[in-house]
Amino acid sequence: MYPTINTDYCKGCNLCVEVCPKKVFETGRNITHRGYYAAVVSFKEQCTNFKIPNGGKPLCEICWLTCPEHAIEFKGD
Amino acid sequence: MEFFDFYRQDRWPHQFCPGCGLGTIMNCLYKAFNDLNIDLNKTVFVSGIGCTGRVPGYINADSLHTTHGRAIAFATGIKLARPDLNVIVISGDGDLFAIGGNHTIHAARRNIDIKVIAVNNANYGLTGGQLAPTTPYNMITTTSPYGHREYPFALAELVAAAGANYVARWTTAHPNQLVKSIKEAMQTKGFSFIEVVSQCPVNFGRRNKMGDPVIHLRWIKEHSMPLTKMTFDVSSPYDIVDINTKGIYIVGDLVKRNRAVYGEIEHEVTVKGPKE
Repeated sequence: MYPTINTDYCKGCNLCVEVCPKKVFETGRNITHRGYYAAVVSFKEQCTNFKIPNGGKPLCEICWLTCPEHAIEFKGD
Repeated sequence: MEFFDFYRQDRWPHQFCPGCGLGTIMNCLYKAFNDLNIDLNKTVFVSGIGCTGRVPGYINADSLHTTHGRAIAFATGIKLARPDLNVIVISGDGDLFAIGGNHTIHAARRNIDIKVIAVNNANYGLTGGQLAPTTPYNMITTTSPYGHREYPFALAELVAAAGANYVARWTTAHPNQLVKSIKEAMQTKGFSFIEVVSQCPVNFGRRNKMGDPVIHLRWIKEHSMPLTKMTFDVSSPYDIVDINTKGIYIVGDLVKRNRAVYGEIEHEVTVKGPKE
């Protein structure tokens, strides 16, 4: 599983880009329907939890804990 | 317990500014409660006035939004009337230490079994960024446009000196440690106090060249020093206050002790008349 960003909640603070040790996120360039530049998940293969099956306990959830809007969710394919 | 069993989904997304540290603290609060399996029907959240005072409004539990500065006074009343409830106070530095400072230190002195999470964003964020007792030296706010010329409170050290059982200080740059600390506070009997240094990019950061929440979070991380990696000599309590005046936050579990809790002290009642 890997992090996904819910654009209904994201306010574009880019804290996930700062705290992720594996640099999974990137600053967004497109404006969302709420008027924010939401961050995007560019390199999901680099995430620590990428090989964990969907619904498992994530090893690192620093982006999930830091995101002030609860916009990040771990999902599988 | 899912995230939106703990918080009210119909109130989401919340009203805090983009990049506000309160959202991080709300995530940590949920994770600690989820790991400990605490019953929300046996929990009361109390808050005062301020941005942080809005947090209990999002939690799916009974909560009190009290008058300015009197959150701890209301929490004391709840704890004395219903000792079986978990009472948690979430409030800001302006509420708990500026107007309600005496309530906080006297609750710590009595060692009442309530848990306090004080969110320190170093200014009065809700009303437009005025200076607070926690604003570091030489910082610019709305009411100190040439730099603040007073020294800040060391909140955690103040409560530790007043006699609380568990005192810790963490920042929003240390979310995993904050979760561990909230769990520790929930399992400790007596007055447990956690100071969380939080970013306020819109009202405090913007006037100090930290308008980007990322830059403000980096500033907090650079200005926090783990207690275990202290390079200062802290043989006397004055040194700790000196470090605090430089705007450096010592993070870690500052105090853990086992003082008798208010209401559980066994007194030997010896009443003597005036003449025996």
